[in-house]
Parts: sequence; C-alpha cells; structure tokens
Amino acid sequence: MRKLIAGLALIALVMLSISATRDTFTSDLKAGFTLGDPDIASINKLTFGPEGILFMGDTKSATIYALDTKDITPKEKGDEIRIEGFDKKLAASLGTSTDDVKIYDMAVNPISKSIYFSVSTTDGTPVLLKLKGEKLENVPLKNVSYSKIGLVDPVGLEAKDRRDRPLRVWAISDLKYHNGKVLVSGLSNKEFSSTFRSIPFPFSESQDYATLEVWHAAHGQFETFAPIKTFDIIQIEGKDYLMASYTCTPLVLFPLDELKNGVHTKGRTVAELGSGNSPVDMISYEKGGKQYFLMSNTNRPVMRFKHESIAGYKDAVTEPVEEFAVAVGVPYDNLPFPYVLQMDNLDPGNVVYLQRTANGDLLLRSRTTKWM
Amino acid sequence: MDVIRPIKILKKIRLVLVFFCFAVFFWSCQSAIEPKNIEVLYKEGKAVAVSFNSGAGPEQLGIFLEGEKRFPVLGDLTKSRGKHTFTPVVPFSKNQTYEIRYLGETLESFTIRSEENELAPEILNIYPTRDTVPENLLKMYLVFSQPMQQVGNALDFVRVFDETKQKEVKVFLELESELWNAEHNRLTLWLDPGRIKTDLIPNREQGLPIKQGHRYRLEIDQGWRDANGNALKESVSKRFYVGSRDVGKPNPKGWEILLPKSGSKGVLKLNFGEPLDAILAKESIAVYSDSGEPIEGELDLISKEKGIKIIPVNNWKKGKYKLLINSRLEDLSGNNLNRLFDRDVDETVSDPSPEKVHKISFRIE
Repeated sequence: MRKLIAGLALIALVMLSISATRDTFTSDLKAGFTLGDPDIASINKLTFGPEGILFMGDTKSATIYALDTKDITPKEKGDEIRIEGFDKKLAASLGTSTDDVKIYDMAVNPISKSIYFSVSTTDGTPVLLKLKGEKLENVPLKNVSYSKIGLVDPVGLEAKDRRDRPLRVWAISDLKYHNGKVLVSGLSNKEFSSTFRSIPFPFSESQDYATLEVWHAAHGQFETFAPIKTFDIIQIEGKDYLMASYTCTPLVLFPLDELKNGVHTKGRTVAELGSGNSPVDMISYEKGGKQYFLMSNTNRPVMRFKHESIAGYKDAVTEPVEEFAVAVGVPYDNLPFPYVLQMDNLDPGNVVYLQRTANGDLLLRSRTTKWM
Repeated sequence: MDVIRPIKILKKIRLVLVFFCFAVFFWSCQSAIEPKNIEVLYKEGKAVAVSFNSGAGPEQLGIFLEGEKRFPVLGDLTKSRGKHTFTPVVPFSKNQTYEIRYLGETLESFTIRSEENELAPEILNIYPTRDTVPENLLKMYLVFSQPMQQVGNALDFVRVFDETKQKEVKVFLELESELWNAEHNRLTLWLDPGRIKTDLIPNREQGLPIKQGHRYRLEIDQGWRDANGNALKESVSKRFYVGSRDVGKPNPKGWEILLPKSGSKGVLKLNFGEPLDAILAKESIAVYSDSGEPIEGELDLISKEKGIKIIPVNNWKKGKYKLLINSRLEDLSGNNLNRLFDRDVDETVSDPSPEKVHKISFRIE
C-alpha cells in the first residue's frame, strides 16, 4: 500500500512538473516579450508569424508590434464562412453604425485558422477583433505579452541636430513575415519615394532599409520612383524575390538578398497592370503542385498570376505597347471578384475575402481555391 | 352540500394567496433586477462607460444597440457592491440609444447626449494655395482645424470639376491607406501618379489628371465629420488654373537670400523662385552656425509657398552661417533636389551617391 501511495505521489509530481513546464514554456521567438500595455495608437496592417504571433503595423506611432495571441490550438481546416452584412454586425458589436467603423486589415492565424480584423472608429480608437462562429470577440490590447520596434528614420539634418522635428509619418502599406524577418513597405504622407524595410525577428536594434527604384515599362526610358502598395515573396530558381506592386501599377521583382541598408536597388518590371487602380492585397496558394498569386485591387477585379509565368518571364517590360489599354508583361487572369477589400489564405485549400457586393453589402466569405 | 362549499372557498382563497405570493415574489425579483440609477460616465468628452444598480448577475445582462437583437456591444461588465459598470471596447456613440437587457429582455435604455459648445471643424488651408498649378501637379494637402474622422473615406467628400469642359473629373488616386498626419488634421491627396508618369499605361490611356489651359474647381463637402462626429462648418471650394509642366529640379544655388543685420532679431528671407511643397519646405530647411549649432527660430511660408522666412529666438551674431536643405524637399510636381519625378534615363546620368543635404553658406554683418 505504501509503495502504491509513493508511486501515485511520484506520478502526480511528474504530471505537475510537466504542466508547470508547459505553462512557463517560452519559445526563443517570444523570449524578449514583455507583459503590459504596448500603447498601440492604430492598427493599420496585420500579418501572422509563427507560434500564433500577430504582427501589427501602427502608422500613427511608426511602430511594429508582435503580439502573442496564445491562439495556438491547431486546426487543419478553416470553417466555411458566408456572413452577409458583415459591417453591420461588426458595427453593432462595437455599439455604433457602419459609418463610424472601418476595417483596416484582416489576417488568418495559420495555426488556429481564426480570422482577425483590425478596426478603427471615428475617433481613432484601435480595435482588434477575432471571428468566432458568426460573432466577433474583442482581443485585448492591454496587459498582453508583446514586443515592439520603432521604425528608424533619419530625421535631423546634422548629427548634432537633436531638436524635435516633426516625425515623418510613414503609412505602413504592407507587412509580411518571411524567414525570420518582418518585411514592411510604406507610403510617406509627404515625399513621394519608396523605402522597404527588413527587420530581423525577434526584434533587436537592427533594421535594414533600402530605397527601391524601378526601370519601368513601355519604352523602357523612364525610371519610376513610387511607393510600394503591396508585396509578396516569390522563389525563382531557388532565390527569393520581393514581388512588389506599386501605386502606379507596375509589378516589379527585386532580389531579396540585395535589399540592404541604405542601398539603392533597381528592380525588374515584369508587368504593368492598368489604370486608375491601386493594389490592395497579395497572397499565394498552391493547387495541383503549382503556385499561384492573387492580387486584389481598389478598382479592378482580383488578378491571378501563375508562378511559372512570372518565373519564365526573363525580360524587363521594355517593348513599346502598341495596343491601346492592354496590360503588358506577365500574363494574368481577371477573376470574377471585383471590390475585394481584404483577402487572406484561410487554409491550404481555401481563401477568405471581404467583398463589397453590387448592392452595397459587405460580404465575408470563404472559397475553395479549386475554382480559382 | 353546505359543508363542501366553505372548503371550496378556502381552496380558492389559498389559490389566490399562492398566486399573490408568486406575483409579489416575481415583482420583487423583477424590481431587484430592474436597472436603477443609470449613469453614463464621461472622460475627455467621450462616453466611456455606463453604471447602474441591479440585482442581476453580470452574465445575465447585456448592452445592445437600440433594436439590435443578436450582437451585444463588446466590452467589460463588472459588478461591485450591487453596482454594475459596463465599459465598451470603444466609447458609446453620440445621440445613440442603447438597451440594457436581462436574459434577452429589454429592461431599460439610455441615450448618449451630445456635447454642447463643440466647435465645428474648418478647413484652414488647401495647399498649394496659389491659383495656378503645373499640369504635372502631384499632391494637394488639406489642413483642418481639428482631428478628422478616422474611418477612411476621404474621397467621398472631395470632388473636382473641370470648369472648362463642364464635367466632374476623377483626378485623385484612391488609396486603401489614406495619408494623414499623426494628429489626423492634415490629409495628403495624390493626383494619380500612374497618369503623371510619362508612358506608363495609365498615362497613355487617360493622359494627365489635370490638363494645361483648363480651369478646375475643387469642392469639399460639408458632410465631412471630425473625430467627435461634428460636420464641417461649411463647404469649401477652391478654383485653380492649370499652367505648363514643371520639368526642373528645385535648385538651392539659385535661391535668393535676404539677410538681416547682426545684433537684431531681423527676419531672414529665402526666395525659392518657384512654389515648393508647403509641408516639406517647413520641415526640410534649417539654419546652423558655422560651428554647426542649430539656430532656434520660427519658420513660416511666404509668397504662397515661393519662399520662407525665419525669425530667430535670439539676436543674430556677426559671422558665417549655413543653410541646410534636405534633398527630399520637392516642388509641386514631386521633383526633389536630386532627381526629377519623371526621369528619362537616356538623358540623365544617374548620380550614384547624391547629396542627402544641400548647403548654402552666408554671412551676417
């Protein structure tokens, strides 16, 4: 009997120590996280990294936050979603009308397949919401585990200049996590230029920023200085490239390893995608062993590019465009989804998107990539 | 029969008593649950919470928008000494009525009053302020008297009419992320850069957003609200005429400097010879002593952004000074000190290491 009790006690002790270890376990990525109030001023862009870490781009305070969502229960497949009047439901959940809310971004946690939304209200209060069934949950932004990094910007004219000059507001236009780095593109609210940042994660003091230039289309005679609106990473022959879409429509490739601190890098334009349009989101998915990229736009339907078309396009777009109103370079298909405001991968076989329908309704729905 | 009747009466009385007890019990419960002393708590003019007394548990209560059946307002409901406090995730909206519900049934409602004496927002400036702009104008800035709404639909309130052609035209690029300053009282609008860049497809298809020789009218709708939900004091319109293309970089070497005398707080004036970007001009130029100490002072735009004046805090001393200009400074067409917005690579030799800061030396006697 004594042996049995001792044995049971030993098992209980082992179980207790295992659960204690699990509770206090902190991965290397979260080692530098602190518990507290990150003081977030706005959440303009969202993207998930590993281990349920949500990266948030805050334009107002020119800061990137990494939030430990602790949302790490794996799920293989996302729920099938079709929610009509999504903005009305979201506004009701925030106790206000649709005129007083704006959905800034949407991101899917690749582990739990939960969908997160960053929302702003009229007075600028930033809100992070998570979809649960048809309802939304508030994700607290205070007393959380996080780390953050301010976006470095050389401001003073001279090294001695330490006066308070106005901060350069840098609207974070896209944010992605790739191979241990947080990649950030931005739009300045003053000068018209393009800077792209690569920030190692876990955050340290270091960050690289490169200015990006485009040799542009048509007759190949002009250089384009313009800010990147959205981007993704594409691998071609074993090498990573930044595939950037600009505010004035060119689609441009930059070798990722050439984007280094203070270096002025020239990209290769592979497509020009038409007028009056600003790209919104870019994602990729695989189907039948082939990779595809999807790009949503402010004034165009969702465009689909085949990886093989981009990889196989060895030229820069340099030939004169003879035919009127025809986009040049890498071919693409227009998918029948106009006014897609937000888009992300739900799971390997589905995407989720937020679409303004013809009758003005805001629809959140998932769709299999089988038919895309 | 005579014996049975009193028994029936007794039964009836008992039934009525039981019913009465139930009614009293239900009424007292209901009365205990009924929210009382409803008070909206304000902080810096915002309705940040509501408190009330009720015997119900927090999990049985919910706050809903008036008429909304399914989606309760998100927030924290806490109970302390019989008093509930509900703090919504975002402050309650003005003039909006909310319902307090117990197990789905509306018990009470409250309405958020609007603040009195709130000033309506106004447009202070529209840059460029002059009435003639180059045909390759890249940006316009709208400066407001107070922070504006942060729900991102600025272009719903901005219209441009081509008065020469008598039709409304679309000239600004629709951006998913609007370009406001941190205080949210200044908006940058880009004229579609794809249409300005020579030979890009949008430029070939549609031409420049604004045409040389045409007159335009920019209209700002009065319905544009500020961060407190108040609409603009009035609609604003600005007429402008489109002149020729600006194809040169700003050149500080050609700028005229009007110098003050030493021993005074005289104004130093700088004349650019052309209008420059109003916001960048104020932030890209500074005066330093010869030894590199910044000269403190106030810097203002003059001559409709064709120059600036600097009023020092302290008297000018006799000696050498330098004016430093960040190369990011742009003219109205996006040309900065180092490069043109629209650069023909056949004609331009790229400078591999352009100056980040341009310098003008001068002497005060």
